[in-house]
Amino acid sequence: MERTETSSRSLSVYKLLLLFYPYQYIERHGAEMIQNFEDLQREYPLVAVWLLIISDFIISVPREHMNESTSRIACISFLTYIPFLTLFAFGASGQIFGAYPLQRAFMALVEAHVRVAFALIFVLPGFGFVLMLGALIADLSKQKNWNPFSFAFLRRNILILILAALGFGIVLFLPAHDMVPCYLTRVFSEGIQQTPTILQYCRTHY
Amino acid sequence: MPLTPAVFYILLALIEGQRHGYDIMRQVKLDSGGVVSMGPGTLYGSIDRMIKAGLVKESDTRDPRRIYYMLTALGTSAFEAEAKRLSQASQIARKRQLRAA
Repeated sequence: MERTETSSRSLSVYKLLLLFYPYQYIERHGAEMIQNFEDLQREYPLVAVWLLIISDFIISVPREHMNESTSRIACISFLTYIPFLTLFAFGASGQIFGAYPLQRAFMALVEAHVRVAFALIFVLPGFGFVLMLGALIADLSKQKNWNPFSFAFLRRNILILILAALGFGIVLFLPAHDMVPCYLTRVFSEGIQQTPTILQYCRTHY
Repeated sequence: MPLTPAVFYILLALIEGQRHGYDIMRQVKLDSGGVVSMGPGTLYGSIDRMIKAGLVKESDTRDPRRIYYMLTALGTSAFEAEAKRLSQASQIARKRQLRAA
């Protein structure tokens, strides 16, 4: 009885782990992977099964994502958040530990190139979000046979979108918060003022 | 081109006939003496790539719970070539060991 309960709980955790794989991969092999997991549980001790599953998960999830186009787009869109995260990391560490040479140098660089900083820190994540939204909608439109996996992945994708939207919301609204270093606020306000200049620059050069 | 250990052991597991995923996993562990231990994620990823490369295909066996895989002609010849290469390498190694002794 106890063993059955542990096994079914273990299986539920494994089903959750499967959501980290690309959708197309799980659509092809998900049912069999679950069947294999049940067979493994019947044949080996639980600890041995989980040691195998965890090492397998760590190796196979990134590899399978690299083979799927939607995952590649999601990775690219995550990269668009990096300039903002870098600025925020410098700002936050400066607030906590006090100003340090590298932070001062970075701040000076940002202040010297407000227009570029604005484009990288605020505009780029917006593009990233739109890119991810487009990829997820394209993925959804390709979906023909709806099954329990499709719904599980739909829920996962909605969650990812909510998190991405929250991330982008934070990018947009943090400058109004007291905790945010003043240069971030300055970049935002000056960047907004300079938006027509950026557009003019783009029109002239591209 | 030398095959990766995972691909080689999957081909080795299928050389005697068609098998389903779990059976391949078990056979690979057995054949490699426990050195190559494949989980479901790695196994099906490798099988997908091997199907794409034309080494393996899905068999016609009807089982609602399992998909059976079998070697293609290319898979069989790739396995034979790799087995021959490994056997030659092991013969050379043995000769050199004898000479050194």
